[in-house]
Amino acid sequence: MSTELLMKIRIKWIIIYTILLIVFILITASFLIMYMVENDANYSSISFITMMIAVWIAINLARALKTKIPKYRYIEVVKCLSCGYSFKKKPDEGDYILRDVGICPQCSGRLIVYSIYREKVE
Amino acid sequence: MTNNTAFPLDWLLWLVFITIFFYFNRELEIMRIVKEIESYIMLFKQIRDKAVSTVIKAFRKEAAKEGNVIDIKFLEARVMDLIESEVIEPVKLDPYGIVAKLKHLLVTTDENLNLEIKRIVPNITTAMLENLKNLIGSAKVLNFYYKALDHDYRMGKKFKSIWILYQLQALLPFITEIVRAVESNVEAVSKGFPIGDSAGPLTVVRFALKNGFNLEPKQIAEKTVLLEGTYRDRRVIIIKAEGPGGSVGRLDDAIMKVFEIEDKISAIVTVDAALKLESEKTGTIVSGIGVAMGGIGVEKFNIEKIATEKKIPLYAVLIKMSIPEAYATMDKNISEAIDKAIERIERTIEEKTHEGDTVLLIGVGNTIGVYP
Repeated sequence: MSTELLMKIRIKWIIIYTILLIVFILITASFLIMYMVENDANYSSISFITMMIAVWIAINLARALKTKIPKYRYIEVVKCLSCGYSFKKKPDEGDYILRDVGICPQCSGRLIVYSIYREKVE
Repeated sequence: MTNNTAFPLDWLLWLVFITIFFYFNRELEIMRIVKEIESYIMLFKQIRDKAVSTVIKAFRKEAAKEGNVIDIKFLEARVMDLIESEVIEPVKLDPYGIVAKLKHLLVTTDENLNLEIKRIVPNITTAMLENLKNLIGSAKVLNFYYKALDHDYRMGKKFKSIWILYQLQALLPFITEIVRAVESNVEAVSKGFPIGDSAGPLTVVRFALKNGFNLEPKQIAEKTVLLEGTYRDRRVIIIKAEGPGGSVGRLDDAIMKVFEIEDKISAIVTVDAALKLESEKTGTIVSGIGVAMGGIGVEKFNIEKIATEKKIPLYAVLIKMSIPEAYATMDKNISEAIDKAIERIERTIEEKTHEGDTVLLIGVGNTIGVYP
């Protein structure tokens, strides 16, 4: 839900920061070249300012890249009440704990939904 | 001479510059805070709207099962009516009897919501009715937070009060945590899976399953069931809300009914989810003395009252989790902690009671996704 919105905002800012970073790196480089060619102190001052701006953009880009939006996978454990045989699967909508899900393939006992939980996808 | 006349003018210019600088700095700060709060308001509105549309979808799905098609505009209006409706607190000037008044209000609210939902989908199942009530409750909370934040923001902007905006900005992380938690609750309830708060009911059901109890439930009070069995020569009576719908049951009424038929209870053990501190690990099991129960305190008061009158010791087993974890679909760590909670219950029963005693074990919390 809001995760989708956050994802959109994150992608939007990553694109903006990347473009800005490239632009400012290019500006800084061009002013540095001009300083080296013409030996005018004004160019070095301007290149220093643009470099500071580029650093600030890089920090923000790193922050945006670091923001992790958690993803989860849902797991259902089905267990046999007689022999303890169990397996994991994706839960179906409307599944609940202790729901009968059939007969055990190993001992023909009762298979039930033992647990339903979610875990973070790394 | 020229320098002496220029001196006060320079100072005056500096003073004007500094005054303007501070003024604009403050204005910029207000603008920055306003922008930040506005982005949160937008986020909260989006979450609220999504929750409302989930409620509407759930209603339409249930109506479709009955072969009915509901007019979308009519449904939207009815759902918004339910979400905007308020429960008015009773007068507390004379606190005597306030708990009974609160209980009456809670029961009336619940029954009224049942009627309202059944008016839209008459043949709805009990489990789905409870889930829809949960969804409406979550949408109501989200609507409240969105509107309250928007109100404070508008007031701060109207009076250009940086202090109101500062307070709001400071509270935003805490409010956001609650909003995100309730948002994940909407998702969990719409799927019907157990949530973190279902840890209490799930623990008692797994305890019953492990010890070979009869899992055919007996209805003991409204939306509340009873299971019975034996553990190490002690009779154990389990009480929990009726699942798998999202209900918390009427545990106090159930306990009073148990006392009408069974007077010799040696101990009451409550199992519930409890809020953890940031330094604590999710799924930590803690023992306690007293009634482990959240909510506004009506049921807790009634259980404490009856236990005190009959001098029955109250024990508690708590499963620690954060607010978002309590509202969202059950986390793996909580699911794994259930076995440890069962061990703690067994230890409590063995150490605090004797053979031949009767123990009342209560699974407290929302029983969504947990049968019976």
